[in-house]
Amino acid sequence: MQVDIQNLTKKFGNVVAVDSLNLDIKSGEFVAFLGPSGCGKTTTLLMVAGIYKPTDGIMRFGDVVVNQLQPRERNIGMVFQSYALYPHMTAYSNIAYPLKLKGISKNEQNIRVQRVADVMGIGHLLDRRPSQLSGGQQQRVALGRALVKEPDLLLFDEPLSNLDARLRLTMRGEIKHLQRDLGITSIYVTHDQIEALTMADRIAVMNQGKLEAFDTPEGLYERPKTLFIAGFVGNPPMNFVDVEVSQNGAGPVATNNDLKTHFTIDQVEKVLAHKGPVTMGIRPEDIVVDDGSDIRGEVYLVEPLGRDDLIDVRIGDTRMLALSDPKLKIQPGDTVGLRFNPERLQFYDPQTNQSLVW
Amino acid sequence: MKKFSVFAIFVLILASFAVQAQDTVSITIRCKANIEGGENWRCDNFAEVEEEVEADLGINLELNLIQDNKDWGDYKQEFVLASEAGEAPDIILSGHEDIGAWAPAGFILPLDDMLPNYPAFDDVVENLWESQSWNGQIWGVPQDAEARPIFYSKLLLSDLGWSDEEIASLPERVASGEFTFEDMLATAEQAVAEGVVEEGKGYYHRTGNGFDWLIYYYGMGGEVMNDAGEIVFDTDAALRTYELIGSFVQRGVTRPDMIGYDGATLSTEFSSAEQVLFHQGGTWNLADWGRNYVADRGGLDYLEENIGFMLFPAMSEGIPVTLTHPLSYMISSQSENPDVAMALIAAVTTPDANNRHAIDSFHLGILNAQIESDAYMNDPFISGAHYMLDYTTSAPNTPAWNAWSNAYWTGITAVHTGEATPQEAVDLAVAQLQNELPDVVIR
Amino acid sequence: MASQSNGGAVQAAPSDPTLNQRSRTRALAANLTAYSFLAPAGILVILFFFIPMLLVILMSTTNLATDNFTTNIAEWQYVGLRQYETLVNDPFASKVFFNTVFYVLCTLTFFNVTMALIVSLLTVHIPRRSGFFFRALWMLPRITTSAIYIMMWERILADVPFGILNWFNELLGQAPVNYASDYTWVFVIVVNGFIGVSFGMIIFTSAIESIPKDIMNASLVDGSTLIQRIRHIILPMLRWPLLFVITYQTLSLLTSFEQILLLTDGGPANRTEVWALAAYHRALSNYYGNTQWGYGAAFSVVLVVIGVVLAVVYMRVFRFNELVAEPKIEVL
Repeated sequence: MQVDIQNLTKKFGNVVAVDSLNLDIKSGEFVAFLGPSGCGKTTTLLMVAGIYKPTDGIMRFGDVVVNQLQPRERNIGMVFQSYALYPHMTAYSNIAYPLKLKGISKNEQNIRVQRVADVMGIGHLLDRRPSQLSGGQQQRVALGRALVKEPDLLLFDEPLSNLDARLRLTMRGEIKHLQRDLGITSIYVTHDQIEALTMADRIAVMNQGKLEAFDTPEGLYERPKTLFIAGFVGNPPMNFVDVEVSQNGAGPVATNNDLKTHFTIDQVEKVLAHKGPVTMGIRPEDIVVDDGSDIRGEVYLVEPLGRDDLIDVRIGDTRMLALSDPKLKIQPGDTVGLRFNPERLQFYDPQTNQSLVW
Repeated sequence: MKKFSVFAIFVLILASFAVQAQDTVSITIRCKANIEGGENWRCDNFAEVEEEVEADLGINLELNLIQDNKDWGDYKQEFVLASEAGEAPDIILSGHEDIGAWAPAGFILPLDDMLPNYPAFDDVVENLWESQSWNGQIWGVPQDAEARPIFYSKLLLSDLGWSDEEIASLPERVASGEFTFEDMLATAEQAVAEGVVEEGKGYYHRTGNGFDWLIYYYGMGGEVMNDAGEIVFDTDAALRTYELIGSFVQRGVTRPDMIGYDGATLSTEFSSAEQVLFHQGGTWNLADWGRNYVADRGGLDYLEENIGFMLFPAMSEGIPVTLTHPLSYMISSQSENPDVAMALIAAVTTPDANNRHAIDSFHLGILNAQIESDAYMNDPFISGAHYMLDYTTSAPNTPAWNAWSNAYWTGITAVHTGEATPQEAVDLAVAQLQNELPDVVIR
Repeated sequence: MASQSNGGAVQAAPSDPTLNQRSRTRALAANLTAYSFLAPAGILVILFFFIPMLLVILMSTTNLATDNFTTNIAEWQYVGLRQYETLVNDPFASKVFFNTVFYVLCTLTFFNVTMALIVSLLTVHIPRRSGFFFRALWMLPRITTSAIYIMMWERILADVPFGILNWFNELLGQAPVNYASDYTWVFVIVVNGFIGVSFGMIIFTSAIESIPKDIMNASLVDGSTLIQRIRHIILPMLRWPLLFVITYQTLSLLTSFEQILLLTDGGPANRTEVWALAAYHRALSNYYGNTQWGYGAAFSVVLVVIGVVLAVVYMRVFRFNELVAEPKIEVL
């Protein structure tokens, strides 16, 4: 089922929680809402669920305007961060509850609960109460409860935040797999960009109630349209340096007091056409330690990440994060040379925070 | 030198105590009085006679008059606890029935030895002394009296076709025994039948438990305490009483919800003289009605014109009856100067002093001489009711009174609501009485 | 606790007497600290609860009344269990007993539980401020001085021309109704019920508000209406608060009497006389001159016994102490 959101706005008193949001979610698509806490992503989700009524705007499920529909009239399934299982009911009753409310016969309930339980691998836990289940088991029951009524739309509200790192990884895969198998349109709210990037078909990045971007994970990473997205997506985060751009004999060059680098991106003219200072961005993984480089700085901090070392280098007043090969055994206090991949530089207008390239 | 001055100061202090003790007698008097209802003279009379008593006894008096209108239960409790704590007032004013509990408890003094010294007491209405005795001795001096008459509406009787003479002579016909209680109920029944009053408004009786109910039992020949001092429940008299009380509602002259009826509504309905034919009340009601209910129609003048009062007409005993509940001055057994207290009481037991209280508060006098005094004579209500003292009765003074009256009341409510037949009501009262007072004499 | 630590100390004794000495001293010091914190409350309870209770029990075995009143215990005239014998055979006492059962059941059912539930459910479903306002309104009967509160009711119920209800009746052309005497029980229960609502209301409201938002939302998404959510989700999760309110309020209703005293004084014709009020009337209110302290004390002792028995039953049957041990409401 397709979800169409136009100019969706929600105000709590004078506070604008969601500001003129426009989204068009395709049928069967897995969309993540990504953003820092307080950005309005959960509020949007609750409006889609029908718990909050929008202040303004229109929401359509398929062709139907659902603004005034009660949650129970929307045929949605929802999974919560806290699992939100009913503590006084067994796992079976929890899963069967939506069916009971629909007035489905006991027999049919039984068949469908068993089927869902088998899919979720919790068939042997059905007569336990939530307090007798582990976090992962509870989350499976919650997922089962959301799926059992065969919803048109699945909503996830940070469902994995309360799980430990290992379990989170497993569940991530399972949810993605399940969603793809069942083909249910899904909205997944998270503040964890790894989850969003790995699971979603498209990601809606929100900031302060506004939609910053709505794009595929690859698009967000490769072509960040705003400074916010550039800084928010990617870990370790992108480095930003204020520079002047100009053309010299060897081609376009970006300079400031501390460094000078050539760049060879596709849309050089757009960058060069810009008057005044620009903000240059470069991801740590696009920086290579090269003692032959002119850009030299002192290593201030080394954080071993396992496969790489994350080094914090001071080039004059400029700080730069870069990844280095642990075999180089770089130590704090060492002086190193850095070379930027000239094809991977990003440029932003510091006034508008918009990309000069995309 | 130093030693001497200390000694001198010591002597001076002692001396000053001695001087005070010789000359000044401190007397504390505790009264309960509705001051707005003109009852303040219960204590204030002592201030009026202070100088007189000082002159007579050649002493200096220091009077502490404590007077308020707290609830009877709290007021009496205060005296019991104060007595136990050794801080009782010298004179306490309370209901005569308290003699029944306070005399055996030793809280108050018998007065027989002191009474003859004061001729003032010889003039007290003879009937009232009976209510001051326990165990053959006198323990209190009556402070006031009242009559609990049956009021009637002259207006409604005249609507019923009674002539002015018939209406005017009603109290006398009642007093002579010619007009009986049965006649009264028949009149009320007739008034309801002819539409002069609404059903249930022929006779309004008391709305809760109280001394008044004893009148019916007395009127039927019952007694509560026999000459031997035993507590008695006369089942024949009680049966007749319950039959009578039960008939009020059955005959349609009394409203079924009379017990528990709102006092203010009752006063509104009766004081207009336009709605209710007969009403069992007390003389003090007149002050209240005149001031609070019919003030716009002329107050007491309106009442005098349209409302009359009479004794309870004769029941099975053939004689009319009423009941008084005198308040008494009693002297605490802890008083250091009981004879001074007695002198003070004697000084307020005079027509002058008592008239102040009686007239301001619509109580009856306690002295024969009062009836001849001008002030008393000029008050039509009080002087008109004074004869009732000749027919008056009172509750006995006995510790068992509480239990007795509760059992009697149990029977009344049972028969009034129709929960029980009169005979069942008697059985109920007897069972309760025997349970609480194993020594009771059932007759 | 204390006996366990002593046991440990005794075992250590043969090997090292100084250790024994030291640990005993330390245990004593720890106990002393604990007791010194308990002392103020303990002294209050002993002084104002246990000692009076023992005195009342003792008094119930005497025939103490105004006519033999004394505060000297040695002079009391002990009559054994005669007061209780009288009580058992007293037709009045059995009437009062049934009155009390009726009063407690009705007030508890209609107001302290049901009305409290309705108020809290309604006020948590409307905007917060309005909810707070309405709950504050329901607090008024509780915080108004009893005497003033009852005076207000007396004016509301009185007959024409004084009563507010009857004033409306008159405006509507209805015949006046003698509310105070024709509907005594109704109003005794309503008047006390209005006071009782606030207690349950506060407990239930905070319990409902402590149900996680996610669970409330989940039930709506699962397809329940607001009513179904109350039935299937909220009420089952209020089991402990409900039990607490029922037990606590039963006991407090059994012993409460001042409102009835002020409103009807047990009347008319003892129709609304309840047990605690009967005890008061017997022992303390002496309009007729002789109060029966001993008999009144027997009434009170019965109340104490009923209270203790009920408390034990609640603790056993409903495992009340589990509720006390850990706050079930918050860990749901």
